[in-house]
Amino acid sequence: MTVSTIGLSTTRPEPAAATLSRAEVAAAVRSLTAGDKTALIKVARLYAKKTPYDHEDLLQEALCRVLAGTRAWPRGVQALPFLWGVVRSIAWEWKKKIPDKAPDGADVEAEERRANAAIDVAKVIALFDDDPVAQAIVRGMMEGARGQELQDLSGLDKTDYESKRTKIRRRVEKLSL
Amino acid sequence: MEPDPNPVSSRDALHNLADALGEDVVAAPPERLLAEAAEDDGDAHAFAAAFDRVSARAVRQSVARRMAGHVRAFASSFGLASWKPAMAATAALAVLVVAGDLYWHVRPSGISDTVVPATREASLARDAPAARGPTTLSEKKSAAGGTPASPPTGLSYAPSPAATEAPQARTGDIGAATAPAPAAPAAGGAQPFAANRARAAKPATESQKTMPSRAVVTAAAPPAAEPPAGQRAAKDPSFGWPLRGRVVAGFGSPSRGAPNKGIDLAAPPGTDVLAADDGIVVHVGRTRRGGNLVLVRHRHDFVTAYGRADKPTVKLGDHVRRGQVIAKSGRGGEGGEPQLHFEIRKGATPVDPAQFLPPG
Repeated sequence: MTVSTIGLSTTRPEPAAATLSRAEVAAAVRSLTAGDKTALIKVARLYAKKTPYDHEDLLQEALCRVLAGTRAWPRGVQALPFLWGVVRSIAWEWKKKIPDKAPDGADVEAEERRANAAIDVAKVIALFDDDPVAQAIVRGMMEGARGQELQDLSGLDKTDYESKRTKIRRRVEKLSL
Repeated sequence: MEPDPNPVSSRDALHNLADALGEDVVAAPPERLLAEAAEDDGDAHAFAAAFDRVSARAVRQSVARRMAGHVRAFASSFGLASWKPAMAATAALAVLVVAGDLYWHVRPSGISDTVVPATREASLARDAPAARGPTTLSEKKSAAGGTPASPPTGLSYAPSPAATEAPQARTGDIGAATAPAPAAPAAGGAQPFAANRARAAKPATESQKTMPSRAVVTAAAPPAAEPPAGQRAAKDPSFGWPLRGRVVAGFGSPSRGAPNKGIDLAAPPGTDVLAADDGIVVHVGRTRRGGNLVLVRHRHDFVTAYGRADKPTVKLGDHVRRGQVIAKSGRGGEGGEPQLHFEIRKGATPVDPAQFLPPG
């Protein structure tokens, strides 16, 4: 039996890489819209509340990792969700690295930090003392609830629920912890 | 719905909240976000401009990281995959960094190059060669050659005999710069910040304007007198007062049911808080009771803490010089009196600042 090798020796077109190249990443970052940039700054600000670092530090680290290629950008993933994910993962990574004590090893602030965290949570909740439904949603968010679970918790229809979430977001954004 | 006084116990609560609200931000229409930015900052494109600044920094940083990666790859391509050569290369790099840092600290751009007003002589007395040994390159050269270093222009101190007789003072260890030396007189007896006030009263000379590093910092720092012999190790640094103010609570005095781990200094809100010595900022953050807390790590594992501060002017990782303004004093304090809480820690252990501060 003769096995044809025709076609095996021909060069097939290279499949597109699974991740963007650095040039593509740089181009994608350059082409972010003002809305995208505003969203990313807002997201970084949310994560940087009550942390030792500034929101710009967080965003810079995220962009640096992406641009340096240490954080691969899967092809086909849109810029804003991807960069938000990077910011988010770094924020959590840094949070885990920050112990409940001062970075110099001194533990004099340990209890104070823990107390502060509880106070900050109470501050956020107190923002919505005038709106029990929003307060319930915020509590749920803080406990990690998401999506339909939160809407069910609120008892609101989709439109009212989204309006309520916008209100929550704006109040939290304006809160300086 | 019944309010719950402590409904969320998770220490991740704020990050969970940011996760949830981040989803909303990403899903929000761009025009709405821009309108919100205009509402918050008065300019719809303010956030975008901030992003561009951050992005530019990130590009530079990413280039540096890529270069570091190339260096590692280059080293491994030459058979440096084993740990020994890699460690040797790392050690060589570390030596370069340390040497550069040393040069930065002892480079002859400080006192010796600066015209110092006469009113600062007292505050500079402790930095006279007799007390600190050769620190600038010119001084080192002179010491090595057996001839005393010439006093810098404008300085009128007279080198004590010890300066020429004991050139064995360290040449590279910055930490010993303030080590007590028997021949070092606590001359002058000037009050803290006298030099600072004198500087404010006189316009800076041209050389001060162009070379603000060591000399200006020294002028801002209060004069330090040597502590009693034997109270601290020879290599322990001395520190300057973070501000001029009355000590309202001493070290070990009762404070909130526990011994005070530092000292509390009364100061009007907005008073400059100065770094007690050269160091690196290792923490800047708010505290529940103390306004902002700034921690600066110094030589020999010393850390100074500045509590109840307001408006920090430094950020994590900044190198600060002695006398550099790092914050403003805040309004918080015991009994409503504005105070700065100041600690000196050896490692994690608070020590009595009086051992290290000049008489105030």
